[in-house]
Amino acid sequence: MAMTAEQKERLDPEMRVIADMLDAEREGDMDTYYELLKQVRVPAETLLAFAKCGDADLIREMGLNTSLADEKYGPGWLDRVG
Amino acid sequence: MTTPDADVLRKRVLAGLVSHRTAEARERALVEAAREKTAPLPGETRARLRGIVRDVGKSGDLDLILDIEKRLLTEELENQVAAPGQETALENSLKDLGIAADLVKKARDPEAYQAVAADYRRDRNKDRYGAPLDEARQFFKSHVNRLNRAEAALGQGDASEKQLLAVRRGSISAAHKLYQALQAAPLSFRSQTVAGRWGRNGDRAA
Repeated sequence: MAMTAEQKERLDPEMRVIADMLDAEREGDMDTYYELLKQVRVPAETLLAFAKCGDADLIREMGLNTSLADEKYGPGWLDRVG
Repeated sequence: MTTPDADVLRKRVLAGLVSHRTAEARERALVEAAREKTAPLPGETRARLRGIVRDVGKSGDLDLILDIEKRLLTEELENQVAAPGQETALENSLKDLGIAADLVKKARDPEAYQAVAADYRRDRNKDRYGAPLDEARQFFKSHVNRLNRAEAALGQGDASEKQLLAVRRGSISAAHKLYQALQAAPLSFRSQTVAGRWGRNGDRAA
């Protein structure tokens, strides 16, 4: 179920990006979906887990925002894990 | 072994989990800050993730299914989503999954897998087709049970959380069947050579 514009308006900025992602996905617009994803500050632990499983290159390729993980694990963490 | 579809699904699982965890974290922060709960966003992101994991389970790609389950388990471990005291169980699941993945590789190599199968001599350690109930088979079975228990432990809790676990369980069951089919190939190869050696061509090899 898509959110109404009014509902979206009340979301905080990061939640709104995710709501927009869900809309893009629903419409099959995956380019927009992945572009929006780049604006999401990815939870550090989630990134670390995927990097540990061999997805460091995928994380780079998708252009994910690593700022939270950079703060938590220190710069260069992705190169160390991957 | 990687198909374009598998690459798309890998990417989608990562994106789906990222959006779900972010929505969860933001929702928690908002609730803690006593702001109005604005929308059932984490429920929606989890439902999307569930759809992607279901596609993984239906892909028929054993490597992909195991790779994705490995990522989901690793992420649970890093994110400390597991209930206290469950970390060891998660670590064991991951270890067993790694062993299963190694056996999958072996099962694709008839000679390597015949060597594995030769170590299983008792009928009770084989299925009715003679395929060994090896550590991969044990993993698939026990992991389905673990996911079942995790689902039961949620009790009357979040239905969408339970549905995600049910989809993961279905995906592992699908992997179990794929693995059984994989086991059959090197073993029928063996029965063919045995039949050939003894000059009995025909029914066993068929």
